[in-house]
Amino acid sequence: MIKDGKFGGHETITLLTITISAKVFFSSPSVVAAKVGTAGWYMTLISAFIAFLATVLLISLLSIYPNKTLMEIYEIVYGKVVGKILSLILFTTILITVATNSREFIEIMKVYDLPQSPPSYLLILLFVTASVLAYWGLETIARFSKLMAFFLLLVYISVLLLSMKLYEPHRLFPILGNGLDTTVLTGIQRSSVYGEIIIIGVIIGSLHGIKYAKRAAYLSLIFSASIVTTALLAFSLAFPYYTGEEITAPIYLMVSLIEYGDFIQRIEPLFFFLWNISTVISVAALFYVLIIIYAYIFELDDKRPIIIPLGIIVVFLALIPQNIIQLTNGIVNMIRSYGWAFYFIPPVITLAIAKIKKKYGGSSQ
Amino acid sequence: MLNVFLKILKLFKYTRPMNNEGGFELLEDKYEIDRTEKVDSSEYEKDQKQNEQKDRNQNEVSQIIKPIKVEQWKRERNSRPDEYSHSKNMPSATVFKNIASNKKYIEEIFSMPRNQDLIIREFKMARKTKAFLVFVDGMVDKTSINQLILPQLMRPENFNDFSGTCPIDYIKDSVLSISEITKATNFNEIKPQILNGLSVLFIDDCSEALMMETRGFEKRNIDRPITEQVVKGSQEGFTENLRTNITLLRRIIKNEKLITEIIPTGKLNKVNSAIIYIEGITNPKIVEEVRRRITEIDTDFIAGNGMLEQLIEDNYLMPFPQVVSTERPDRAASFLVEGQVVIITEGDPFALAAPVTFYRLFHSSEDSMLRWQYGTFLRIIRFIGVMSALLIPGLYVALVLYHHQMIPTPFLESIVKSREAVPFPTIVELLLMEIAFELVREGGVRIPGVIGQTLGIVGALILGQVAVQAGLVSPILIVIIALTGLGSFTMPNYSMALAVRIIRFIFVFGGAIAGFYGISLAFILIASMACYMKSFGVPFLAPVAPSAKINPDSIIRQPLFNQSMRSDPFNTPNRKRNGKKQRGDDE
Repeated sequence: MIKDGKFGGHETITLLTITISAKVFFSSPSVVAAKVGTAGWYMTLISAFIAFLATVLLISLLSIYPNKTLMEIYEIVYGKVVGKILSLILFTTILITVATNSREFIEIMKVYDLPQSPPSYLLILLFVTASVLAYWGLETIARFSKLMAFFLLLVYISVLLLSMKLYEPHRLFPILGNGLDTTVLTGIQRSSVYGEIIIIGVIIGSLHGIKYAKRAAYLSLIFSASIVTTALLAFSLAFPYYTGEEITAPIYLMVSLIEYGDFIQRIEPLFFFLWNISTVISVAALFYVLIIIYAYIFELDDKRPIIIPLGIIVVFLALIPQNIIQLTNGIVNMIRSYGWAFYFIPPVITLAIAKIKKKYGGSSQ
Repeated sequence: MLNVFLKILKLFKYTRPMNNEGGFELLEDKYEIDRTEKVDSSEYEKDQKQNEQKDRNQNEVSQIIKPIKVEQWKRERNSRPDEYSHSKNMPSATVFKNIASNKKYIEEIFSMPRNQDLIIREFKMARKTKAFLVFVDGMVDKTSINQLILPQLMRPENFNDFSGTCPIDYIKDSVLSISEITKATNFNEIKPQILNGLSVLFIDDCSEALMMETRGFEKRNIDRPITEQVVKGSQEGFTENLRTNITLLRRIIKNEKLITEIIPTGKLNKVNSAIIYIEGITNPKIVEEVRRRITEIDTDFIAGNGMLEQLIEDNYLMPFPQVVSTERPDRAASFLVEGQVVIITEGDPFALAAPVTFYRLFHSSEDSMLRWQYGTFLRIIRFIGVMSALLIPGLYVALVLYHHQMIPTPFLESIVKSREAVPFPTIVELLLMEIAFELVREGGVRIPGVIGQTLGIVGALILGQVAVQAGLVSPILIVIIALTGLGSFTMPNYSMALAVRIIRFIFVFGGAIAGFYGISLAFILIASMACYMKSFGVPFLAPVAPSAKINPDSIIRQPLFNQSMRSDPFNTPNRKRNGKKQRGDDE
């Protein structure tokens, strides 16, 4: 029997921040550069703001039903059948997110580090690790994220500082990128980048109440937005936007260009650990959330037997795209552009219905 | 064949897991008072008193639950045997009035005369009453018996004032000048005490016996600790004698709240284990858990702390130690003051302390004796040493096999040149040298004294030199192995050092199968395992994961006067250590 366990505010903040911001080391910056040119670094602040609004509404919904998870709230508000369908939608969205994130990570690693290793081999290694972490429970994943948080932050800041030689301030211009309207619209659309914040509604049972959840959700959004913004700003300063959109993993490339004298060069190994550890935490956390939702939908109280089958399903789903082009232009682009509809809309509608029910139908419980 | 088939079938069938996770978890509760408040242990003392009262009431209730009639009581009283009969030997464990029966009973339970260790010394007390003294040869101090017990009991003038039938109380109060004497009526109580080295006196016409403290067996003197030597600080180490070890602790902590509970462990050898803690500082839940785990041990033989540790630890699959052992009384005392429980087993010159956290395994007793800058420096060196021991071989394999582009060109050139003549793949070359180094190390430990040390140094030097000259390994690998070996020697805790030696191979494996990716996955698994682990309910990586108040002595050692609070993860009822005037020269 796996216990979800209980963990504190620090663990929740680090878990959510790492889960959200790990993808900045993938192909996202180049896609952003292609869409909004030089305005990517502040475009993400618009996305973060939209995600923040959605989080405020999500927290209001969770406050109406204290100690209830998002899936339980769906069932209370809509009844069993519709509630389970909405939970299934959430499950599918997170399933696709986990699969795409893992494949994207593996493909980028293949491009830069392990060109001869087949993606299936690397994916299996990733999911064996994620499954073991899931077996040890969410508490362990959260504690591990807390343990690594300061190390990851330190490495991230060092990378930004060491890259300073590459920065050229004129590369930020034209400051409005491809136009303000494009920037704002893309910003709203790409709020899905912060969509993982929804997992606070799934793991709320492991936190010490709604007050902590609220604080953790807001702070992790602020930290994630800061990380994503600084990464995009560094990328915009280091590469001209027309070059940047051609690079598969711009932050990785930026690190490999760091050079101080004959000996301090090619310091990707430092970054490599930051990149790997943050991705594994992100994948393991989302994978465990998948297990929680699945166990809830099918009313299973023992999560252990579903870890390996679900791991196999995710690996096979991740292997569906034939190559990195199909992956980034197709499914990754789709999930980053339209994921918000699946992440944020159901809780917002549920909140409206819950409020109406409360007003006209007496008790909302 | 059918069995094999059924076992394979079982792998595919879902069985609901047994609830084996109901392990003890130390959570914050009322025992942990506000950290700025004054010491007040009355709260849990009150609880303890209530519990004791409850137990007493329950016992009383269970005793009076079946009232018996006066006739039945009289019948039972009269049926109590005065004489021992072989057919009903074991059920009747009370001391008989008839001395011959007592002797017969003792002879039977100790398999005399086959068992020649037990001495039954018969004599006439005050030249008229039959009596005998029983003890185990070699376990007692014969001088006490010859000079303080037998002469006093035999001399008639010592009994001039006595009138009555059973002189037990009179002897206890007026005849024997021995510090510790207790009465006993039950053989179940008497038997283990005889084995512990006490002498027991049986007197004719008395249904009680006297147990006298006459322990005095051969033991090793207090010596310097062998595995935890320090430059500064105490030079005393524990010995194999439990009483001496407890005394060594009591000499350091002269406090009435230092409690020692003795629990016999091992069904067959019944070795005494002492649970030692400071009431009011150690969380009562930890004490209760330690007591529960030790009393529930159901095995026939416990040879020492090492065996006890394996039977009481939280999770036997984890590579890291879940209790810390020391052979230094000053270190054990510092564990007690921190709120840990110390366990000492008879016959073992090491003490165990529980719970323990990861960062505490990097501490050595010298740290507190040195000024804070030196202590901190040594801890950082140890941490670097352990990280080198863990990661350097794995990183080397990953770099050479997968990530050549990450090595600066001149360095890569030198690696390639040095590997030119080596016929083996990198991983085989590394494993060969690692195993050779482990052999030299193990051989050095097994061979006694100076020869062992010489063998270690000479073996390593010659082996390395010759291996390079023979073209079996590259010179750079010798540097890698030497660094790894040195790093693993910096770990002050022997169990942790062994864990590091084993885990190193997991990183080598990770590096060999997927380069840095494999190493980072191995690191994630090992670190998550440590996050998952608990030691007596305390998370192993506390106070970092999960977050707790960081004691200024947990990771970086701050000045002593800054260490005003005890460790938060141990949830001690009294966290405060320092008063307002912490330093002697504070105004």
